[in-house]
Amino acid sequence: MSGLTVRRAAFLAAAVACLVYANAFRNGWALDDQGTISENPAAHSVAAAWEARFSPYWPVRDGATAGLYRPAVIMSYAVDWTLSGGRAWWFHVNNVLLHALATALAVLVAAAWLTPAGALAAGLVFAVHPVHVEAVANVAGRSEIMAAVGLLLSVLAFRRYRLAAEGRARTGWLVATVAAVALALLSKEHAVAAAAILALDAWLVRDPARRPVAGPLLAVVAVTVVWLVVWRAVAGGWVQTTTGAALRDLSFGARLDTVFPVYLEVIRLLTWPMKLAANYNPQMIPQRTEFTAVAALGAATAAAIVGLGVASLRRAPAVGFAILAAIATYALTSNLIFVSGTLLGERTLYFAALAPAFTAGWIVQHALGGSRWRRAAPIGLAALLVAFSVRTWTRTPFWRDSRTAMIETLLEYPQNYRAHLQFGRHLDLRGRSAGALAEYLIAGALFEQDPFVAVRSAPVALLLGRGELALAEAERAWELRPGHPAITGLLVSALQATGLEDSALAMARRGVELAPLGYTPAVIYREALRTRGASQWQLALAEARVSWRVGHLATATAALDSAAAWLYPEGGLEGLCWELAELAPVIATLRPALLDRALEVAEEAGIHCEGGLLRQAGGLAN
Amino acid sequence: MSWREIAWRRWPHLLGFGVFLVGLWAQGDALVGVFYDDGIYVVLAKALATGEGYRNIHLPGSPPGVHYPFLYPAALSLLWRLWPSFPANVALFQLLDSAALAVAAWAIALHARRLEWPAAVQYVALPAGFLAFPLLTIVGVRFSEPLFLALWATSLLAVDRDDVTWRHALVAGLLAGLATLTRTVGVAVIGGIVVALWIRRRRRPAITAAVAGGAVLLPWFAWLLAHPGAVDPRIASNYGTYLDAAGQAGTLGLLPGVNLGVLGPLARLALPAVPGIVWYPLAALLLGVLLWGAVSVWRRVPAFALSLAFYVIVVALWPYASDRFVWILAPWAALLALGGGWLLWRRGTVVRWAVAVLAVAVAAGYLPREATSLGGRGFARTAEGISAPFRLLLPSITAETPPETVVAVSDEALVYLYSGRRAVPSHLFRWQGRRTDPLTADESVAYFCENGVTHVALTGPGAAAGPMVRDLASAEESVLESLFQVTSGPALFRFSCPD
Repeated sequence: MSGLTVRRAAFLAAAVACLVYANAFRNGWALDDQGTISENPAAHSVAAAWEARFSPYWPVRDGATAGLYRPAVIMSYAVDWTLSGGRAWWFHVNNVLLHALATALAVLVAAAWLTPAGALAAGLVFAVHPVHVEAVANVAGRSEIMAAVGLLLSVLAFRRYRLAAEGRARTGWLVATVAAVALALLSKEHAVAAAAILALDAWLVRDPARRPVAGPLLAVVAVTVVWLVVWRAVAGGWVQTTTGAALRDLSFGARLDTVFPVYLEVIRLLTWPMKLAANYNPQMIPQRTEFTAVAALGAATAAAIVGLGVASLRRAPAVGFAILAAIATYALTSNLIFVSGTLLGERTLYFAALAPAFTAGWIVQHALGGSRWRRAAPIGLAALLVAFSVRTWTRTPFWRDSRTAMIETLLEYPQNYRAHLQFGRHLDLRGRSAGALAEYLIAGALFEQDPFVAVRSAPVALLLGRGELALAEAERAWELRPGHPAITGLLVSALQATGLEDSALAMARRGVELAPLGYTPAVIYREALRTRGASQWQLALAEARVSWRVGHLATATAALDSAAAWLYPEGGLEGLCWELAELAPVIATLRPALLDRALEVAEEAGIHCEGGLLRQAGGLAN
Repeated sequence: MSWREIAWRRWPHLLGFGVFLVGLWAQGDALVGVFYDDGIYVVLAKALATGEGYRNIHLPGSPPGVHYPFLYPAALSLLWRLWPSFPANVALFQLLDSAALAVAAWAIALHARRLEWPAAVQYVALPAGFLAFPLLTIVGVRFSEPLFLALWATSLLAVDRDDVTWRHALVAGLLAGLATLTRTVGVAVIGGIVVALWIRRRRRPAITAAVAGGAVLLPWFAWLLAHPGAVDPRIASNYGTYLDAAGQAGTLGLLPGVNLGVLGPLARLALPAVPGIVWYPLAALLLGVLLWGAVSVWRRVPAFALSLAFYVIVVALWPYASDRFVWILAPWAALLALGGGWLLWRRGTVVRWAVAVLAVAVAAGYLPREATSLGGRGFARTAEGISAPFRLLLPSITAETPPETVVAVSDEALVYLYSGRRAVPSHLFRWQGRRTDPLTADESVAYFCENGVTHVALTGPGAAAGPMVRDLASAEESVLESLFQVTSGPALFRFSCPD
């Protein structure tokens, strides 16, 4: 292609990236957009975003959030909101422009190994790749694009650093490299792979003078470490709350049984992404607890891809670089090293799409350079681009709004339990309880291993007066997660609603036993006692337990004193031994004398508690 | 360039980066304020960040901060402004301390090149020194030592050179002045630099360094002069100026008590616990090797040698336990000991035997301690142990006392930081020579009443104020009403002034 320069190729690919998403401007807010943008006060002004610079990406709700920290993305939303007054189309315009920028940068990165034509082919494939739709057409996907922009910018800046003469310009490029890595890190967590990607690029695109690069790479690692420390302080504590449902409670081995087959799906999405989904929950991808042939195939294919990346480094560095960089960034969400929040998300493959794009570019360049496939290559590329573009164009409206996304997911993938759960929630919030309950029940039937479906279904069943159904749901959840505070509460409520108050009290006690340090079970038990009309001493001890578990030792001590005052042989001492056994450590810590007094009263009333055992439980001498 | 040359060239950077990572690894979950000073630094930082000035805002009346020089709290205050959410922002403080220790490592490694000892001496001594578990304990809490060490080491880098000019001296003087603004003992660094330059007949640079160091300190002296007697004499030992403390102790009373065992903590760290008849000769041998190393470097790095000597002298005169002041010398001590040992090794068979015996003793004493401490994170255990009773106390103080509460407690800065309640020290004392005498119960009660104390907290039966509190609590018509008492643990009392 005469006259095609790298710069023109980058511009052309970026223009195509804009064109293929022209219909995204009509989209509004969909799914995650609501939590992170339209309903997130931090995203509504630059001042608020600055205030929230050390806050988790998702606002904390009901004492929980996701373990994510992306202040650069929140700041970009805030700038957009300030400029547009919160109009969604403006956010979509900027998402598309960012995607165009990422595409142009990808072309520039590829140009180190590919001819302008090859780089253009790579850029075009990247621009129209349908796996990007979720990241580009859904505003919340911006974190992926910004992280990719940061990573690609850092690669380019680091190259300029390596090639620059000693002096201010070289220092400037080093600062630019580190700043780009910081932008990537503050946009999405998978940018921790930056140092590895830069080292790989430095190895592939060498400085003719062979000057050492260890120092600058150390600077990048240092920035990454600083980010890790801050991330841990801001969001690290929340990570355990973001485990994907399909992987929850699985051992490492069982996790691999489920995860390996997912890698086949990842490869399909990167190579032939005609079938797309908003999420890949059971039963789209079932939870497996045995090593199957599919798992073996997934593991072997993943290993082969790693091998292909390594093997390509010398003969086809563009391909090797893209595959290994893709693996480096995807590894963090692959659930191989640790359990992440999702089993599979198309948006997490945004950067990884460099692999098929650069491979396509290399193939086109190779074909154009030879005589055999010289004519076929452009035709093949055009066919691929048309197919991808059409799929991208037709997929973009899926992200118009939450309702569209939910209904289309339900229609396309009725086996996706989470789609039913989300739609049920949608109906629930609009007061359509019967419909919501139906959806929840379908979700529960599709994926019985998720105990938290009952957290939605049981309250709605109770609201509709279907106590038996609520009880069945809560019991099913209890079997899966015995002692979980929310489930204990549901079960107690369901038992009370069905008139089984003794069973409710017993269940509340069981909750206390299973969570000896938990605050919520102690409150549930205290409320169950109140409902049951328990004795004053019993209520006082329950109050002491609640106060102890929240660390209010003065109140706990006062409650123990109150219990002591209410304890007398004629006072109805049913359950005293259990109370003493369960509270022995607390009594021994705050009011050791109460234990002896309670045992005396019990003896007087003809109740024999194991005093020695109780003292032992409380760490007291017999 | 051979790989040895590359390694030698990159060594300061690699060591600095490694120390940065080690510093971060050393951070534990202990509460800020467990070692007292660390809490006050952070309170002062908060006061600066929130526009309340350099004041002890945890104390009733917010008296000015005149005890601790302000550079470290000022540095923390910048981070507090950036992230004004405590305790989450402690992560930034941890980064600062680790980075400061990394800079210190980088500067010490670079400076040590002037010694012209074999590279292996550096490769072994400096990592060992920076991994010494007491140093990890220090960097794991919010102490000013890492920043102080960084400023000290970089100031030496500027001045311990053959071509020293007044510009170098200016930089060194400024850095030494900043070191003194971090820890008062930094006057030893200024002194060392100035005297070294003077002895080298670099009079103009010497004067420049002295003027620069003094100029940096001027605002601090002005602040001190502006607040004479601003601190209640009953808490002057912790919050007053060093002149206040000296005034209490009696300056003459200090001299007979010069701490001749100032380097004892280093010997106790390095040598095995053997009977005194063996230990003391080994300690003398260790001191000899250290001194040999220090004396041998005098010509190459005079500012270092003199500032180190002055530092040790100041610490010996200081009426506080020398441990914490000595631990930060661990990297230099390791370097001088190994370098001194290497020099002695070349001086004949008898000396060689002595060095070998010492090496075996250090290997037998230091290595197991270090391995145990690093393996089980023993260096963080003390801080975590002190945190434990506060973890029981704090939720109660926060939730079960009104906001206007004033608590008398040990580690009062810690209680203020985590509960928002003003707090005063529960154990009041005054200096008598080199020892401290507690105030009487009546004097303490009078202080509590004058400062609006509403609650008294004890961290455990062994707390310094324990005997006084027990006496007050068991008295007839007690001023204390027990709110809770954890068996063998902390307790909280309501305090009422006697009529």
